[in-house]
Amino acid sequence: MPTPSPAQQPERARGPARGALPFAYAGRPTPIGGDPMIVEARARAHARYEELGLPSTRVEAWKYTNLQSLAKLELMPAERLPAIDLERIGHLLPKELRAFRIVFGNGRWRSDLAHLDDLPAGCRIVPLREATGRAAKIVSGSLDRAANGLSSINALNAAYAEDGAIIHLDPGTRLDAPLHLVFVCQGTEPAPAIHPRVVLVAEAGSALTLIESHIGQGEGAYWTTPVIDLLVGPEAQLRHVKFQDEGPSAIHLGFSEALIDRNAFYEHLLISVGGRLVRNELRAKLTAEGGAVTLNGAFLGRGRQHVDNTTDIVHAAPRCRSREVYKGALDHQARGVFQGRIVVEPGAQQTDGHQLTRTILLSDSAEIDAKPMLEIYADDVKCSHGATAGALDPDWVHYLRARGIGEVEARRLLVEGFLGEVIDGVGLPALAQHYRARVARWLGGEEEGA
Amino acid sequence: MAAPLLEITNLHATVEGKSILNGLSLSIALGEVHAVMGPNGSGKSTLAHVLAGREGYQVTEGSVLYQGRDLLSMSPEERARDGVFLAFQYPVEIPGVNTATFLRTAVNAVRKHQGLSEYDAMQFLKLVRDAAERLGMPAEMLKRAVNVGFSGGEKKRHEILQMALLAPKLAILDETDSGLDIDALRQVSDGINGLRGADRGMLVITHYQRLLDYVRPDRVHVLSKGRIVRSGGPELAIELEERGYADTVASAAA
Repeated sequence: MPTPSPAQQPERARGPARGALPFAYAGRPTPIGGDPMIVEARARAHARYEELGLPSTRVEAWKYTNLQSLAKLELMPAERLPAIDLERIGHLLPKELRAFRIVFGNGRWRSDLAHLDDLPAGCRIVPLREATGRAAKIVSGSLDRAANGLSSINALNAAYAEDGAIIHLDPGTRLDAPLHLVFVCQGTEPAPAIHPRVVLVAEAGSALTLIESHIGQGEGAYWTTPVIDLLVGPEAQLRHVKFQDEGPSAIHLGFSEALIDRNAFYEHLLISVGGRLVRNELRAKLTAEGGAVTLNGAFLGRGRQHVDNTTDIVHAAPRCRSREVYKGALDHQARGVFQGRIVVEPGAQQTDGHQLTRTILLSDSAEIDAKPMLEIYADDVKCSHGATAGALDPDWVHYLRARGIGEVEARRLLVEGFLGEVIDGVGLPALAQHYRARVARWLGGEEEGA
Repeated sequence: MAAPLLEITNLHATVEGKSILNGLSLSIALGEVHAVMGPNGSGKSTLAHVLAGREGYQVTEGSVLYQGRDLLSMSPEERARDGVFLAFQYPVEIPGVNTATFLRTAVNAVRKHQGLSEYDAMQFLKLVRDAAERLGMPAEMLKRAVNVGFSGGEKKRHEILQMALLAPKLAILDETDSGLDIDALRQVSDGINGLRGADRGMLVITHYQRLLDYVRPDRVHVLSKGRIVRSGGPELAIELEERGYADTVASAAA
């Protein structure tokens, strides 16, 4: 049964919360697992979503990102699964890089495309739909965090997730190859709404490289709200790469939360290339002493793309360290947003936090809204932030031209270098090289996929 | 007789509305090394930038012919591809751009223009390593970002390395000696001398005579207030060093 389009939907019983859009997407909860714990947590998340609604630009955290175009889209819960272009998936990682793999087609786990043989005994991965026993407990915990949180997107995803994955690493388990999550989406009319949810629990001393790739097939519109929920246990090491290359009409509202325990290390690299309206939201909370987090982001926009990068680093414990560098390159009428907040909670003494964002505007019509924020409630801390935006340095361009390099090529080389600095920060050289090449192709004007 | 390599006639140029060059004339033939000396503010660096085609330098009068062609109508990259090279006084640091990649892109752009085949990464790496070694540059520098974290001496060596790789017809060296200690000065000078030849002309711009002890010029010109006020042989450089600019310029005016 098709879901009524927004225009046909009944008025909300209690009216939207202050600052909510006058539009409520009502999905259709798909049963996951069937464990009563999940069912109840889901109901709480649903209530939370109803309460929060979808944010309008009157909500401070969404000031620069307008979801009106989502409200105008005729939506239906994703049902039909796309036929998946395997060759394109093969190009998402460097050929020589062996990886475990899970593929989601419009949010649904595709067991026929998974590569999970030879996982170490201490690593269990199951589809969200099949969550039972311990896995169900992990899922309900994740749903409860969404139900108690402030993110509409996380609450909505928790209420409507159709599938996803639960990844559980036992203490001391280290994966010697990255785990690659491939989200393939394809638009139809009405546009499918896709809400995959991945929950990772990395127990004490475990280690993993997690790569999420988001790709779109075809030109059609769809809406996806991928949530990646991460629990990084004491002394654990998690490297988390997000490569966003959605289709040209896609609305991608991604949300990730990492809770980082004692002496744990969380490293994130974002490469954002595709999509029409994109939000890459990341919240990293240092919950116990000695944790460290590094966030690196490279975002690209052209045409009328809108790409919002919102990060929240919360220092909730003493002696933690955070480093963040986000860089963007925007051309044509593209619009970028960087909202980066560092919160140092009372008692989080000897916090060491640094944040930097820089954007290169390649055209006069491109725009960036950069909002760095420091909120410090402790007195013995070392925190700094910086933000710059502007055209490419003409001295750089001249230096290259004075060596025979044409102006277009010079700009390409410089922007690739500018973003490449961030990309090189990921601890895997083969992967960095691969993403640098991807950025170079974008700069060369080469369209991919579709 | 063939056209001179470089023929500057009555060149006037302004920067931000301020006139810096006021009727400069100079002619360099293939195989010659000319030195232009002058006090600070005399227009030495402006001359270098005008010849390299930097934005913001307005030529208001006069002409510059390079191998008989109007140099001023060419873009900076066209000049470089046709064999004009400027060793910058202050080479800019370019974060994120790998030095070896930058050098290969530049060399291949020039080779392509000359109808030569482009080097692949492996071929080029060998070539550039050998050239760097001759200049006493550690190969490790090639892996770093262009000029980032290079010492003053390393930046100047890097300029000479680029000159060696691009093999220009006309090399303009803008205060290449500044900021060099005596060992670096010798190494850089050896690099420059190694590139002297019948098929190349050089314009060496310097404030001090000491570089000219190593790189012996055929002609020396004294620049003052945007014009050449005296020209002579290498002995003129020694006179300048002994008497200073003020006296030399004053005696020229007298």
